[in-house]
Amino acid sequence: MTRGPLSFDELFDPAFLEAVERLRIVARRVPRGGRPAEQRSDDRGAGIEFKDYRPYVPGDDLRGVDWNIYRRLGRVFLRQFEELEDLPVHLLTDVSASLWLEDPPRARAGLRCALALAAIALGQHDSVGLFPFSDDLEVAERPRAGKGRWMRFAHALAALGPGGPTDFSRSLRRLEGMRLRPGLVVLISDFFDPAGVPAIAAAVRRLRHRLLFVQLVRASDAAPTVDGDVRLVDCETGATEDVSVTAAVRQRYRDAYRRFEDGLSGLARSRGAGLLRLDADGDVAAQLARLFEAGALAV
Amino acid sequence: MSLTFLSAGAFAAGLVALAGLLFALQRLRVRHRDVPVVTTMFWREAVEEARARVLVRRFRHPWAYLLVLALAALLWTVVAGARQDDRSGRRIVLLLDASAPMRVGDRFDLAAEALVEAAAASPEGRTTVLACGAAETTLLRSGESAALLRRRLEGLRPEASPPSVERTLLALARSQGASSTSVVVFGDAPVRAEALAFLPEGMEVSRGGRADGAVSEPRVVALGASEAASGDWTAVDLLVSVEGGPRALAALRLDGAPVESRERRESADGRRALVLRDVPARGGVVRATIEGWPASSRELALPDRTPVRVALDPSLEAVLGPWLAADLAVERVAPDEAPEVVVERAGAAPDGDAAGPARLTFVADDAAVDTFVVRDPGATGSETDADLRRRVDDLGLAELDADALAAAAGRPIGLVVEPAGARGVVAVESLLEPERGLLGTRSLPAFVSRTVRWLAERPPLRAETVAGAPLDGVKRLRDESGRAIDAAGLDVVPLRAGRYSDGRGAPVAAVLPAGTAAVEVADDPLRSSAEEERPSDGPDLATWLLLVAAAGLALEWWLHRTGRMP
Repeated sequence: MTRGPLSFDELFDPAFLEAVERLRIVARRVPRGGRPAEQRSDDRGAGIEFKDYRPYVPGDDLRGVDWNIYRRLGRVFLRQFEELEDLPVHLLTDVSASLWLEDPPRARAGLRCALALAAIALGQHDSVGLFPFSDDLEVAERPRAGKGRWMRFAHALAALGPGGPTDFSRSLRRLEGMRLRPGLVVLISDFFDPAGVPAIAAAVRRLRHRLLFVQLVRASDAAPTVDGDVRLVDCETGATEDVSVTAAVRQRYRDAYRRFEDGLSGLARSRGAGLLRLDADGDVAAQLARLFEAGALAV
Repeated sequence: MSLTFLSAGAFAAGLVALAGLLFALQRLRVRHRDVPVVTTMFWREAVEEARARVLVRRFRHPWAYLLVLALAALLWTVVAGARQDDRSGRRIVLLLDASAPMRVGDRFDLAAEALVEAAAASPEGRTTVLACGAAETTLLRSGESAALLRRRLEGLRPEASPPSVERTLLALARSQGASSTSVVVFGDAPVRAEALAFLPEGMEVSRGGRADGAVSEPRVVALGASEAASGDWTAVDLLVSVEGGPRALAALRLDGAPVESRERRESADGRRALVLRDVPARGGVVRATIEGWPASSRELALPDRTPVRVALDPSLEAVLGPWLAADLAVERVAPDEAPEVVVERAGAAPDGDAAGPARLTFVADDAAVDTFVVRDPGATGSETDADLRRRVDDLGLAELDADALAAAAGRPIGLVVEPAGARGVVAVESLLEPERGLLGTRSLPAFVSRTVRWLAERPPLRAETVAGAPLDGVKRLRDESGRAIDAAGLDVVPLRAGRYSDGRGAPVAAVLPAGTAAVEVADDPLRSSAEEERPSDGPDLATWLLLVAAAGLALEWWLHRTGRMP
């Protein structure tokens, strides 16, 4: 039975936010053109971390000339400092019907994860956008920075409800069409796209962003509890499959699921993306803490 | 309910096979319980891998299986030719007529074959088979397998007894009381409507085993003579019966001359008969032939019942005249009309070698040494006791109370056999006296009648009784094998035709009653068992079964559509 949107109280938990505010997302390098923030960027500017020298050209700010070098070498060089900018974080939260089916729904863990990541990013002055998707992608919150925006995020997340079937191809094509500043795309989903992992890989290949996959899983995904003669009804597509669950069938299911997980892991590896398997029945904050080694997640 | 096309065993075997087949099919069926899942793509992969290799599943749905099995059983019952039998619980008694008329041709064999078939189709637990001959013989008890019947019929042949089916029916009626019983008679034994009226309401009687339309080579299956129904002792009624062939009848010739009859009968089993009335019994030969089938002809020698021409001495007219006049076997003639026997009174015994007719001569008591002197050319002079007993019987003296006669006459009663040139009997005339002799006793007419026939060299007219009828005043009989038949104080009944002897050793011949023949169609009050099984105008059982099966099918479809059954 698919349930409706989660309440704000189900998502917002001060203790949860307190547990994740120590975490940080560290970008190895953010693209140029961002807003000043805390992430190292390729821009050379007025930061405090010395980066390099370069020859003086007319028009340069004379405050950057390294006069010691000029005294020794007689040539004018400018000192360059690393520019700290923000990391655009695009949270793509899956709201397809499959995330709202069970109890508790996977959406609960997914949205709490999204809220946590948003709070972390906003806390370090990164811009965060919220893009819920199912069979298409929507813009719930455009990428903006501001520490105080997490409450707005929380309300936006609480307003999300069940969508249609999962369609990564269409949703990511829509995201790419927005021509957002390259940043970090966090895909929070169960990745149960009926088209399978190859379709997801094809869709992801077009993205110019760094990727973080958050896979919402349950123990029953790998070891289903259904037994006997059942007509399995896909909650997203309505497709049915008549199955007599025996040990042999269950083993073949496990094999199929393992192939799916292997495919998703391979995709993450191939894209240099992170992959977090988030147990929908477990403590989201604790699982995120394990993901953020030494308190930081390098992307 | 009974089955037309299948035996009970075959029906049960088929049902078991169907149950097994459906059980196997049921194991292949899948019941789908709807379970919503987040995705089916992994299951689809798992099932697609397995589908081609999975043949047998565990047994899943007992109620669905039972419903399908019920439907299959209904259809199988229709295939088996089930027919409605509202006699469920009725006792079934199959009676095989084993009386004398069944000896004709292959009547008995055909009836026995039909009996075996009927017994095999009847429920074992409620079927009893009896043979109705001189007495009832139980061939199959209730609960015994019908397979035993054929073996028990081996060696069983019709007895020389009158049909006893009516008697058996009445006995059954007494033993069964008001319980419902269906009796099927196999054979031609007549059952009168009067007898049926005595049966209780719960007892139904029908006739089975009649073959319809069977045409075979025609043949004369019976040619016989019986006492003339008109009462004419010198004539007989002839009956010739034909079976097979396309309605062929036999042509009769008496001593070569054709004789015609317009009295035709058709018996219940399809035999055609001609009856000729009052055919003179003069020792002629009757030949019955079917045109075009000479091999089927039969011959019958008629008895010679030509009256004995007797001339009576006028002095004896008052004493013997009435008896001779009452004797149908005697024709009174004048002495000059060439009598065969002369009954006379004489002063002395005539010459035994004198020519002329044979003589019964009464002589004065003092002129005779012995009471009876028998002169016989065949006598040897040293007769044995058996010879003497035979002569006593030939002369009708077996009924003579010799002790009383001797006491009344004051002299011993003796019988002497003398060799002579011609037959003759000499008796003392005191036998004709009312007080000292035989006058007024039933021995005199028997003596005169039998003696006259012996003198005329005609076969003796032996005392006969009808088989199946009680013998008046006789309490005990012995049959030819010496077996005693004791009626426990009642008048004994000789059940079979044959020779018996009573308690005093006197012979008794039992004959079949006149008119013992196949039952006629027009006279048979019994309906054919096949007619009784004729379906009624309403829907038969098969139709009902099909309707129930259709309803069951609709129910299964509805259960399937509503998700209550896979």
